[in-house]
Amino acid sequence: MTLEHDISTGDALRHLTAHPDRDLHALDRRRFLQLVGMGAGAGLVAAGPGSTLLDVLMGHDPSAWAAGPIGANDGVLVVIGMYGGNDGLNTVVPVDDPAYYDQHGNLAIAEGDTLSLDAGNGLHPELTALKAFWDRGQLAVVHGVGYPNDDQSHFNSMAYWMAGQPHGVPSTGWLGRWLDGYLNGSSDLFAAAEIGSGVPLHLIGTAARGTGVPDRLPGWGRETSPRDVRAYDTLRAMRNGSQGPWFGAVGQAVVDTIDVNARLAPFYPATQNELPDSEMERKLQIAARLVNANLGLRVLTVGWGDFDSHAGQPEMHTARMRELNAGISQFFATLDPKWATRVTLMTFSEFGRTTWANDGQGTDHGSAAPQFVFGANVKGGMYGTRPAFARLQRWERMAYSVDLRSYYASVLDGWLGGGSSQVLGGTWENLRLFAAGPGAGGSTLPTTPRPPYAGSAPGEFVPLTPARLVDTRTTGAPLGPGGVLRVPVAGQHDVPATGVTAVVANVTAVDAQQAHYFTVYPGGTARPGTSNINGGPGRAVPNLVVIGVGGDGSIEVFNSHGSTHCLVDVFGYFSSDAGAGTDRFVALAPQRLFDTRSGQGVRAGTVGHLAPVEIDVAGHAGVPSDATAVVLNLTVTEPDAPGYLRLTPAGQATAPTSNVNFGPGDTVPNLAVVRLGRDGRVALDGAGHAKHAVGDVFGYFGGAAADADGGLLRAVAPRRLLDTRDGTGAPAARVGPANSITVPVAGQAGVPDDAVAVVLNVAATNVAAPSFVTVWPAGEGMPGTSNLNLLPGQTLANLVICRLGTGGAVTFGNKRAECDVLADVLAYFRSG
Amino acid sequence: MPSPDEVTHLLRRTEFFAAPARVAELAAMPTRAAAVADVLDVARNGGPPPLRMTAPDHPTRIAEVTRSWIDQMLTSQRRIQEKMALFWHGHFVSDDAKAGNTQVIKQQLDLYRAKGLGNLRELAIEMSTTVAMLRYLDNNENFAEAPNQNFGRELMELFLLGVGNYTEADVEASTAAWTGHSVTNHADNTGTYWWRPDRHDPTPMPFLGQMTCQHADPKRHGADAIRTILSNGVATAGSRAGQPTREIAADFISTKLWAFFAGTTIPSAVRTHLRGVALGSNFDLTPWVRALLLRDEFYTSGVRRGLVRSPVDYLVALLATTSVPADPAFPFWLGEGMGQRLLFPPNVAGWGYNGYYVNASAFAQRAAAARHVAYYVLADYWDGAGMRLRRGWLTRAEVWASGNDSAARRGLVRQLTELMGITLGSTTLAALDEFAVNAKLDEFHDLVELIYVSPEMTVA
Repeated sequence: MTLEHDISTGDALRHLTAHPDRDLHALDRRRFLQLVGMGAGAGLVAAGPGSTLLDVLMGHDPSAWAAGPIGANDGVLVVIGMYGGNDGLNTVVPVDDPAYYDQHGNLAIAEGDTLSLDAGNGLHPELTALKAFWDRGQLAVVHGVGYPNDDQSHFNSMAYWMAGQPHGVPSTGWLGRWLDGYLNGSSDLFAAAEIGSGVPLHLIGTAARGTGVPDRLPGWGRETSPRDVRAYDTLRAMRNGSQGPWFGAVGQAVVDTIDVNARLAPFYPATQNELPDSEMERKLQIAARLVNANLGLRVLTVGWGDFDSHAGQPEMHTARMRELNAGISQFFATLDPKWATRVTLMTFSEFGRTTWANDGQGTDHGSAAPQFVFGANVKGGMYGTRPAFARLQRWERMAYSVDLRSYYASVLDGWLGGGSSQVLGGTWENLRLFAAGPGAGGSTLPTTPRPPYAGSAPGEFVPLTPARLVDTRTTGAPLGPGGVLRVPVAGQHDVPATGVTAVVANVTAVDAQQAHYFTVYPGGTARPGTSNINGGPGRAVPNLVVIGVGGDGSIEVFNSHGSTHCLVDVFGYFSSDAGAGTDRFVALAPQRLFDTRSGQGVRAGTVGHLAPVEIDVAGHAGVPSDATAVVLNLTVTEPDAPGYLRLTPAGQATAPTSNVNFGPGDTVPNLAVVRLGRDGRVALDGAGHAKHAVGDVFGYFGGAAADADGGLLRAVAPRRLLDTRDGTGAPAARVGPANSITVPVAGQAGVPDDAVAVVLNVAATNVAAPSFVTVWPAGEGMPGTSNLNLLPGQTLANLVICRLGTGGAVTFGNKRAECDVLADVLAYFRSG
Repeated sequence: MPSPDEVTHLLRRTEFFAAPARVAELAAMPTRAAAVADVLDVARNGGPPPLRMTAPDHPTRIAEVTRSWIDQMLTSQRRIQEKMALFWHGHFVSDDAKAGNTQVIKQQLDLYRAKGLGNLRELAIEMSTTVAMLRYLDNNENFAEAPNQNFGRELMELFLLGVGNYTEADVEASTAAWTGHSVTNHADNTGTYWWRPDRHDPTPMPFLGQMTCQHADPKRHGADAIRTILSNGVATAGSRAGQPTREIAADFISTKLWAFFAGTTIPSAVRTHLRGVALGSNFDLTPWVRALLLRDEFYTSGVRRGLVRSPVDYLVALLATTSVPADPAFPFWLGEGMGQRLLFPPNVAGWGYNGYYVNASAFAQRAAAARHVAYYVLADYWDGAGMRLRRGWLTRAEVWASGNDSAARRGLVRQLTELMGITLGSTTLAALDEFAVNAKLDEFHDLVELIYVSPEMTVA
């Protein structure tokens, strides 16, 4: 061997983290020796900040999916490296083997001190967390993992373990090669990560590599003050100078540092002292936070030492075992239980240690050792064969029974979706370590599942002066990825404490850091697989929801990705307490009520800054003169600066709410349900510069006609009615100029046969050209109204309240261009 | 005459930074050769003063010696000596930890500083018996009855030839030749070289086609192994088996020197030429490095701005923009996080280059180091004379006088770079202008740090 066995493991480890400047020649040992400490910049293979696998792949729009950026059945693997050579014999103690007590001498652990696994094996006393996994049948102990012609150099052996290839001079690692297959040429900063500094060899692939993620607060990049943002912007601008080959790369490394840190900052606590001091607790807590963050990470690696107990082993090894246990406990204390069936942990070390203790109260470099694989879907038990070592002389080492390639293949094929023969070359025995695949049943950490929403009693409508229920910008805590905001409704502002069946609320996503969606659903119920708002950075995105209220009087807003603020404004509610002040609904044939561009229904000219313009509603577009509230789709068009539009009952003070938010040039629609004010009018104003507004009527509440045969609303558990991408509800085909699609609603998705109108959240995506989607009752002519105004590349959603037409169906059309359409049912109207 | 661009490039690589006065001086010379000769004219410097070490305790000594060396990199009359010493510190590697006492590693570093441009063979022989090296590669425990192969192997594998050109038998022979060179340990962990003939194995063994231990004086046997490598040895294994090891050694060191100064893979024409120079001068380093610095390939666009400054290079370049000394402005404790800590090479293979240093966590540490230097630059800015820059002060009054005048703000950016003695490219200047024009007056000084993390400061 070239270096003494006792080169410190830190040094050996530094050898095995990547040097991306490697030459194209065959890697000679000299260069191998220079594979030291520092890895590639986190982004040197990135497509750009914020890009994920899904952004890059065609057709994957996270906004319309209920699951996170990785599929519900994609497993997450956490790899724990024990650097220096862990004494396997003192980790899984062979309590029934007298040779152990003989040879390990006063290092041996008495049977009574171990945590019993079975008659022959006990765990090191510190490993209480692993004992708990064993007792649940979720710990696999794989005995005798090693490889032929074992090498006792930290250096060489660690290289073999990380490479997944126990010979030659490696330039890639097993997880890196898996990543090559998984990413298949696309780039993703957040598919695999090492928590620590540098990127170790096992995360280096041929094309892809893992990202180094800090195990301390990400410093640089996480600040958000205007001063810091100005500084970061300056650094971004510097990156584009091109004065030489490394110029761009270092500029990019600076930007990537900022971007990775900024992206990760929300998942770390605010101050360093909120992270554990102890290394493995800190690293594994961060790992769990990153899993919870749902960034798309499939593999997370951590490691630490020093396990190289040539001397002073009792204190040293006990400390390591305690740290391992604490780290594991910390991980599961932090991990959101919903991830339990999707996460597996495994250990490795470059070798075990000698069976014979040496003269210095320690052991020397060994070979085969047991390793752990554990998690909710692991099939607990003993695997491999415990080495027999009674006849070993000093310095002789135990035989292996499980080749490390088989160990890895079992995890690759059982948990990471396969590909072991490509990654490892050849076919290696799959030990079948898993009781179920990721996400599948499995035994879970105890959680109480939520019941699905059972639907509401029939309710009549009460319009309110618009009021803001929540603004997370004022509470200071944005919704994180996977975060849920509970919004109390009953008893808030003018909403009564009892009898409330559903609420009409405008929900707005503001300051989103990345593309995401909101799902709104009744509080305390199981989150449905629907979405209400598709948002992204750069603009506030509003949508009206008509949604059932949970048993606790609240609704909940779930955020899929990234960090975003949320506003919720209430416009009215439905109550099962029929009586004065409650109104029924009548759906109308969609009709344009006003258009400031042409002067129809309103004075012509743009709507200026905070200058209300009044619009006659009662007595127009089918709305009777005694109606109390109108359902109106409000579209802003041709704004020249960011702003918002607001509808208020005429004659009342404008409420601190908004209906439509827009950026310059946006055409943005949103459904509004507004109480009619003085003279049956509404007032329209807004902040921002001049803009035009269009309003289409879809129905009204209240008045004699409504009392006679209007409908009451019933909220349902939200459900997907239509998805033209995969053939839900209609044949899989885009909606376009040549074809409208008619979709039965009555009798579908919880809507009864005699429903008269439906409340749908309609979204469009894969938009071919600027166009708009119209929704109308089946069997009638296509009206001149619009529900969704679209630009190519957009994903936009809007609430639609539509009368059911012939056959209890509605029709979706797009006169100008093709797009895919999705629709979720939230509620329906029915008389009685 | 060499162009200012050429000269700037040459100085950034050999003297850590291109001081404007030096650029003018060298650009005025008649030829590139004259400029290179001036850079290498270390005789003019006399011997460099030894690194300063006065502190009594170990941790303070480490800081003191480190900062003393940085000071030399900043102020020496011939900074190429310090640059070459840095090269040898990363090639004939030892570290403070195994040295046991900073005195020991300082002794080795002072050797590299004084003789780093002397003769390779003599340097290799002399460094082999420094206490630092004897301890670092365990030759102090290499005895006839219990050989330790660490040094004997690395001499060939990492120091002179590269792996694969010799056999295990050669390693044993080299090891045996070096037995007996040991160290007397003192109570304060310093040591003294101790030749122990009774522990030396004088048995002649085949070694690279020759025989070891031929000389009557056994104390020479180890040094003679080095002489053999660099004279009449023959490779006994690998793709160059049968070729003279002196040629392989010349190529090996040339490749490393080129990586150090140029930052790219050595073109074969350059390697061949440098081999000729090295062999022709019998391994004198000055003509060797001179030949390297005179190659046209050294001045191509692929090489210019093509070397990421190592953390030490980077910090020296930052400090060179200021009038603040290394003590207190050099944050030696950030070295490990940045990837390079003086006196503590990570392992016997030394440090890498370029991509070796480029990753998010190392760069975050660089930003922290830049902030540290900026702090000292600004120490007198608020209440005192101004920003402490190499060529003068930029005062707060001058900054405030710019008011909201964009042109004045941009003028300040140029004044800042002028006082720092650096030039920045148009993209970076545009970004800084944008910042300067929009910054509040009391945030204007953030420019110092922004300049420090610009690509122009990061890449040599």
